Amino acid sequence: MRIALFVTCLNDTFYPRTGIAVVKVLEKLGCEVEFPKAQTCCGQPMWNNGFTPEARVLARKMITVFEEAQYVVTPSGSCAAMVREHYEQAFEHDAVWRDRARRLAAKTYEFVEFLDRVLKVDLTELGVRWEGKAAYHYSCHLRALGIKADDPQRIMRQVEGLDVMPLDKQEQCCGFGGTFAMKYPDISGAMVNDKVSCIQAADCDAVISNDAGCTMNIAGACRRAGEAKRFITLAEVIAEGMGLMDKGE
Amino acid sequence: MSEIETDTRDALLARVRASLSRKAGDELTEPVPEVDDRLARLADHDDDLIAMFEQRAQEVGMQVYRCTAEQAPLRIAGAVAMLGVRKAVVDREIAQGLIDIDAVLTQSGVALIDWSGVGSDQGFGPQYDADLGVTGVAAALAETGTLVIHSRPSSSRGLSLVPHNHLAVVRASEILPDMLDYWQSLAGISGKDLPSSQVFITGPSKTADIEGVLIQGVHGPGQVVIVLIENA
Amino acid sequence: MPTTDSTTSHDILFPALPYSVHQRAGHAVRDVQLQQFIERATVTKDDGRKLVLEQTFGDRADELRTLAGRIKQHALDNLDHYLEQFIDRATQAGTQVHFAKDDRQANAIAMEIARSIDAKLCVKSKSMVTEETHLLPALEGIGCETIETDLGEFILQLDGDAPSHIVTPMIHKDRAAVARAFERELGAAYTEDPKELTQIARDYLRDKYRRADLGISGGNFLVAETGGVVICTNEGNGRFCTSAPRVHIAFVGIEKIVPRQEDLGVLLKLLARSATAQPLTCYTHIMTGPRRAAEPDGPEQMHVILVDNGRAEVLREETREMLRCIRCGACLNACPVYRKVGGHSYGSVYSGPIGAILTPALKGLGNYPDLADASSLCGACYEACPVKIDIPKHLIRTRQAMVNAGHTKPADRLFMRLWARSLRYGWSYWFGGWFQRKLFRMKAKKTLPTGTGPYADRGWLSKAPGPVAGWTSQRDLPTPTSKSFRHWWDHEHAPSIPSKAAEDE
Repeated sequence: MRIALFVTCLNDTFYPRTGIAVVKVLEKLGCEVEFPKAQTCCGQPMWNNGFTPEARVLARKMITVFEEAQYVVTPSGSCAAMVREHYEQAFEHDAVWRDRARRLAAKTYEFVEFLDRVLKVDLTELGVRWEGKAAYHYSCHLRALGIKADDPQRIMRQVEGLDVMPLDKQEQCCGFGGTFAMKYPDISGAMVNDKVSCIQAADCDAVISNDAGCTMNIAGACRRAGEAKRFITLAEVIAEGMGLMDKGE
Repeated sequence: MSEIETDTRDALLARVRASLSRKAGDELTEPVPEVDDRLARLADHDDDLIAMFEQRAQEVGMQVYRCTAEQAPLRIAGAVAMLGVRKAVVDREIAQGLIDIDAVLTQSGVALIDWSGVGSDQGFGPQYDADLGVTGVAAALAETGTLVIHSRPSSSRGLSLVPHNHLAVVRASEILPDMLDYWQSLAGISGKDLPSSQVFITGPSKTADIEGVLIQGVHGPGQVVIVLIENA
Repeated sequence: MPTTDSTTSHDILFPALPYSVHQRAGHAVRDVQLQQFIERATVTKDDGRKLVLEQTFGDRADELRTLAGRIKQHALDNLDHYLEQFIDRATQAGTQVHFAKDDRQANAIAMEIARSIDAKLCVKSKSMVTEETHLLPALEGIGCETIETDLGEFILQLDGDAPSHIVTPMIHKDRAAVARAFERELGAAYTEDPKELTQIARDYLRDKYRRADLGISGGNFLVAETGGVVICTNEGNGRFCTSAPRVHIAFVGIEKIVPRQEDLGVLLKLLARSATAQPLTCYTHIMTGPRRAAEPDGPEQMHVILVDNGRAEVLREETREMLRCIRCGACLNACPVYRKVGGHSYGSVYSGPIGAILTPALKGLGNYPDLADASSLCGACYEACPVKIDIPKHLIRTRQAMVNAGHTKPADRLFMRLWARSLRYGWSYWFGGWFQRKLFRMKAKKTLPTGTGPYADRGWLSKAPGPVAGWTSQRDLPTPTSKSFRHWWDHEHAPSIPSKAAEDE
């Protein structure tokens, strides 16, 4: 199985460990992972803000870079949703590119989704072990991919030693929304503080949050509130749990 | 009479057609989507309709007394005593005269108020003094425990609305499984031949407008009692 | 004698244009009591909706919503046909149908009817369309006292306030405010007990029902097949307003039409469950014409004012889907933004996610430049909508339309274009990343290093410059790590041979 990794601009710059974990886990599971160097950004910020021509430029680039891949896997629900849901919309009036977009969409997956629906992993069978009490933050854009909060949690429960703790208002948006957080600080701030309160009330020492945007937002707010919880992606949990990565590196 | 510029039917339709890119006389864009029973139906004739109706009606806060036609007068008397009512307004034709409601009420010490006014200037006037309204139903829906009441010559729209207590006599034969069956029963009847008013009653009147606190009996009845006659 | 204090409530729903959310939203998020009230009202209803739809329809729920959406879409796609049918059938049943192109005309028609019967007192049940047209001052201006009878609206009217939610209009108000309003306006003894307050309102309003000449309602649905008008209520005031007075006027938007009675079998089953987790509202009233000759009561005259007020324009293909809305309020209850800012922050009759797309469409993009913008596009609204309006899609379309119409700030446009540029080429992407890394890590020098463990080499900023200042006003900003993912891939990644090959060794 050949997988082209779309690491995303946020992970590349701010959370490289997520990308590293994804590569190590996929390779361990027998996949060949390539990293097309020309990748940059899926164009989401432009699309979300109504700058459609600019979004199309980046979409064309993305499509071109990943066209030959067998599978495209990305550790970001929102980027996967951009490709799967919005690229076709972006090329509403361009049949050729719309078609190319459709073909890319058909083989693009979010990382946990890929483990679940394509590789159909059973982490218990694989002997993944990770000690800790973790609450799961559900990233909104998973909705557009048809993924419910239960799906990643089901995978989490397969990890031995991992206590999946309930989180109040689990599906309520954390307030990142990309540029929304910068343009509407009062509203976004109120939303993330609500999330922080729910995390503080949860009986956990770690928060599993798989989207870099969410993590930057919530972790930054926790830090401001003096709340020290470890933020980690499921990819890293699995990588650590399979001995592919040290907890401290 | 003041000068007001009004829109016309033709002008409205012209604007609508312009937005739809349609012309007068165009066919429908597609056949009307079918109301799929598989998706929408919540009850059918295989269900125990009496039991379902009773349960659902209770779930929304109405009281249900099941009985036979023979027991009905006693049940009604019991309900009236429980409610502690003194003055009633009554539909003149309940359950096609199966029970002599007037007699039952009078024997229970309830005064019958004549609500039939002279034209609609009377409105619901006399009914405001009553503490009980008694009606039959045009139908009842098992799926939601709903009472369906039609406006008709023997009745007033206010009987199930104005007094604080409402007693409805329902015969088992009037219970339909699902709302879909009710619409089916009206199929083909043109609007002018329908009653001017059809009301679905699914519980006593309620509100939670003040700080989310649930209060029963805001404008409509706060207590709804259903006497359900099983063998009629 | 209560009068409509039109200044205050008017300003809330009809602020000076262009309207910006920032000020009201800023106040709302800091109002602790408001936050508690909104939270309680919205979260419980949203949870209730999900539970009851799951319990009632199981895995049919999603398909049922699709069907409901298709029925409404079909009605809109063929609105001319169904409007004609409704007009003809309603007229045959004795209803007088009127046509109002805009708010002034709608009010003028109502005023004319009121004058024709010398109406001195009007009782009114909840209707958002009448909020749109601002009906009350018009009727009061011709000497017809007009009382809102829906408990929440009644209280708001007394207090010169405005609704903040499509279904539960006064979630922002506390019982003490109600007590004060009743004492002040009705001369009632002061009490904060909701039961007693409700009793005061009930007694007061029953007197009005008895004496009213005119009753006004809205309409949840118009049934083309029969010419019927449907209202869904819980309190009973809607039935009073449409049955007690001699004349009834229903104000209904043209988009409320459904083709057949049986379509109500789908829409009614989703409406109350989506709004308040009830199977049906306490009362569903279906009115098909004035009282029949043999009926002892009911209105002698029934009027329907079909209100356009911008809807025929919104009916165009790009925006048509928005008109599917059946006003259940589920999107408000699900929305994380609404939960924080409340209805008044939207500065319009329609709030929440549906308001964010409908208001600019009805009132002009430039007049409400940030309603569609103040969203994180989380999609909770789309998931909640019983008729599957793709609200996120329309939020983005509205943003696109804003950009194309030149309503975006030049600084924002420039920023976005430069950013897109920098992502376009490998070298500019690399440069942008390098620049960010250097700049932010330098600024965060004091916070480095942060101990051991993963991401120990990262710093945090509590104050960032320029466009990023908004971020750091609320939370810390992590800096880039010292080495990017690409760096690891180029310098450290040793592709492991798949385990099968390892077995060969």
